[in-house]
Amino acid sequence: MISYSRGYTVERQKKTGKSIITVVAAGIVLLLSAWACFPSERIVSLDASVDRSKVGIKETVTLTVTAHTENVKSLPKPTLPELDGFDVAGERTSSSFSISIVNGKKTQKREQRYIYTLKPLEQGTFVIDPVTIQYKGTMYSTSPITVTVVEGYALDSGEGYVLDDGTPLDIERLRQGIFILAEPSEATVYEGQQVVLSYKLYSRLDIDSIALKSAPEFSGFYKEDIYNATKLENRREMLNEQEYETTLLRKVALYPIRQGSFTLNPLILEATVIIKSDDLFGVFGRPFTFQIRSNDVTVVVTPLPKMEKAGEFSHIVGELSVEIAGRDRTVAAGESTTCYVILKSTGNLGVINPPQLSLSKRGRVYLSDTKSDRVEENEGLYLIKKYEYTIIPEESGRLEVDTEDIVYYDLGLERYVAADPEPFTITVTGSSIVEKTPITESRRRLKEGSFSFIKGDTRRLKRREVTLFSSPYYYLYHILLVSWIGVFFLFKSKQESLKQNRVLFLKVRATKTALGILGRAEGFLEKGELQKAVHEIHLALATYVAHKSGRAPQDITTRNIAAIAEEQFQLEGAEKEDFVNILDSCMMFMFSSWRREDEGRVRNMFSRTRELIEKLERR
Amino acid sequence: MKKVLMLVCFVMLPASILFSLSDHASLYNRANEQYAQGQYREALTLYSELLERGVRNPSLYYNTANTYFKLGQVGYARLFYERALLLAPFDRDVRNNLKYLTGALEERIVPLYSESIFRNISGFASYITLRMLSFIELFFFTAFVVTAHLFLLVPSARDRVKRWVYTTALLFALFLAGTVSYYLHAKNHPDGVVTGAQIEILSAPVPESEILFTLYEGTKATLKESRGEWIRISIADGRQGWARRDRINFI
Repeated sequence: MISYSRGYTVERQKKTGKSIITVVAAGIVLLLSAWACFPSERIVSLDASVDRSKVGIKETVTLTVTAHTENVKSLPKPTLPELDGFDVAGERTSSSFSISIVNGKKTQKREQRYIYTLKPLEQGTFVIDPVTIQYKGTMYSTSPITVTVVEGYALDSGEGYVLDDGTPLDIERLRQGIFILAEPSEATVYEGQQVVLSYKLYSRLDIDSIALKSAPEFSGFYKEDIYNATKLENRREMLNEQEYETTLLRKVALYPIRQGSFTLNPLILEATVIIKSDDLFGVFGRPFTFQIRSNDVTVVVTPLPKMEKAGEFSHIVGELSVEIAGRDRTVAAGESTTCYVILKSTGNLGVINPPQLSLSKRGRVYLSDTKSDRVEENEGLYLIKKYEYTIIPEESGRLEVDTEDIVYYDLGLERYVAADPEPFTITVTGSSIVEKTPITESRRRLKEGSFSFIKGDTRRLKRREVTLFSSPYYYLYHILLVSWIGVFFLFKSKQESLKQNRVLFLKVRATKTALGILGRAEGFLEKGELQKAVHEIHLALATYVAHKSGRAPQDITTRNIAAIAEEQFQLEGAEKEDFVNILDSCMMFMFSSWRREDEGRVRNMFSRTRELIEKLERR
Repeated sequence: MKKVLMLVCFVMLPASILFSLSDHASLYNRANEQYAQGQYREALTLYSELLERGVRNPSLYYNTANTYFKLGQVGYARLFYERALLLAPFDRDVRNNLKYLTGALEERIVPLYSESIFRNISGFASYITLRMLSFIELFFFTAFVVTAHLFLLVPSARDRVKRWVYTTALLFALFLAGTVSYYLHAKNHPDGVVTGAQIEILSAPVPESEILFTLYEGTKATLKESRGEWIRISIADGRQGWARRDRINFI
């Protein structure tokens, strides 16, 4: 027991020592983890740069402020200095982000860019002072930047350009060999008058490639593109007694929308030309890239002369032709047809509203489609608009489709002209589907149409249902009548069944009944009462015939008994003669005086009657 | 106690019905006065009150339609003319005004079958209403009951009466089936009228779907299918599409 006890104690002490080491190690790991979890936050660097140090006053310069940070979650916005000579035209941000883990330490690296677009306000050399960011008590700042603003566009001057072989390059001489000529069709135009402006590239150099750097904006003009080059054409043209290879770069039709003098922005290209030299290695040439721009174009827009007559001016200046056409010359009333109004003009058709069609007779007009097109004729651009109308004539006869007058300013005539096309004529067949005049209530002789007439006053405003299905009386009526006819039918059926059963019963019992009556006749014979006996014999025959034929005894008379018996029993020959004899004898005895010898004849008649009934029964 | 109840049933109830009828009539007459004075909005308020009370009367519908027309709401005007026509298909005033109104709508819908034979059939069919069919069915039912009585009561005339019993029974069955099928069709595919200025008819019951065509105020449409708040409708020229349920008022 003791050794066991000591051993246990030593073991426990060893275990306690190990536990302490484990706890300390775990603590260190935890601390390291905590340190790794809470890394240091800092701005590593802050830089500012511009995309160009020399800029034209009509251009913009981009200022980019770049901050490289580590573990910074939220960076304050940089503070721009006072910008003399510049205006901030726009700003945007962009960022990139990366995570690196080195020795278990995680670092979040971020590159944050603040991009400002600066527009120069005046010419001169300006210094953009340092841009600053204050973060956690530390002020970070960039270096100052110098920017020179020149007149117009800051194209490369060529100063300092040196080819690979060290030859200085005269860029102005190069620009005489390649340039863009911008030519307007008119320098002074009316408001709304078309100006065709073309940009043509003239070159005597070996062009490797060209790229558009800046396209002109035509503010103050409605623009319709005519042509945009996609490749160099290299046509040969003479200019100032020199031959050039030319390419039409762009052609636009402009329509001034306000008065004034407008200088249009130039078209700027970046051209790469191959410069060849006479040395051995310059035979194949060396590429050189520089910018070329078109000449400035100024268009003066003057107001149109005042209209002499008041009218709605369409704002079309130039030529205009209007035509009305149609799909069908004959159409039935109520059926649709299509008419077109086609406008063709050198003016701006984009400003015109769809012309209103007028019909000489009643009908409906819907504008169903509008198509635009253009065509180049006589060195000008003609815009074409085709309006498609769906017309549904409602009145038969000759229908003329006309359009409203379109007033435009004719440059040839130098006055306002109303375009009035020839109407399009359609023959409408069939009967008219709408009356010419509003329907009047002739019964009440109202003149201004039946809408003035209303249903008069009433003492009781009765409700009326659209369907009788909602009325309980509808169902009650059906149920009551069906029930009644059902009950009545059952009653009548039962009654007739009972009657038929009784007839059948009497038919079966007819012989027995007749023989019973004959039994009474026999009794009268025994007593010598012959009259009563004959009467009973006659009654027995009549009852037998009545019951057998299904008739009531009272329906059997002396007149019809023979015919009924003949029909019922199919009497023929001796039987018929016997039946008729018995009946005649009965009648004779009933209505004659009696003699002594008549008793034998009555007994004989009695026997014959019984035999006849039994004979008929056996059949 | 029973006698009192019977008194209430047989005297008070008809009296209250008569009272309410005369009350409706006085309101109706007041509305007519307003109409005659050209105060259409006031007249419409009174007519609308009667309609809200559930009064269904062709004269009321007709006058309401005229009032809407005077106020320039052709959609509602057509709706009430059509309702009046259901109750009084032979009313010339309603037909004339409806004809004029449809001629004055924004868009004329040319029916799919516009030949004269179809126009005549359609014109004839417009006179056949559910109410009329119900009355014809009741007539043949009554004729059947009468001839059946004759058949049962006069055995000697049965041979002659029998064919009339069969004929009236057949006609009664035919008209009953016709009335029920007409009723079910009218219930499942009711006609409606566009009461707003215009609605766009879409290709599917979703707002983003393609717009097929536009319907203008007063156009009549038939319900084809119903799906939630959307309904598929067709118009007389055969065009179909989906519209929101609340844009069309059903007759």
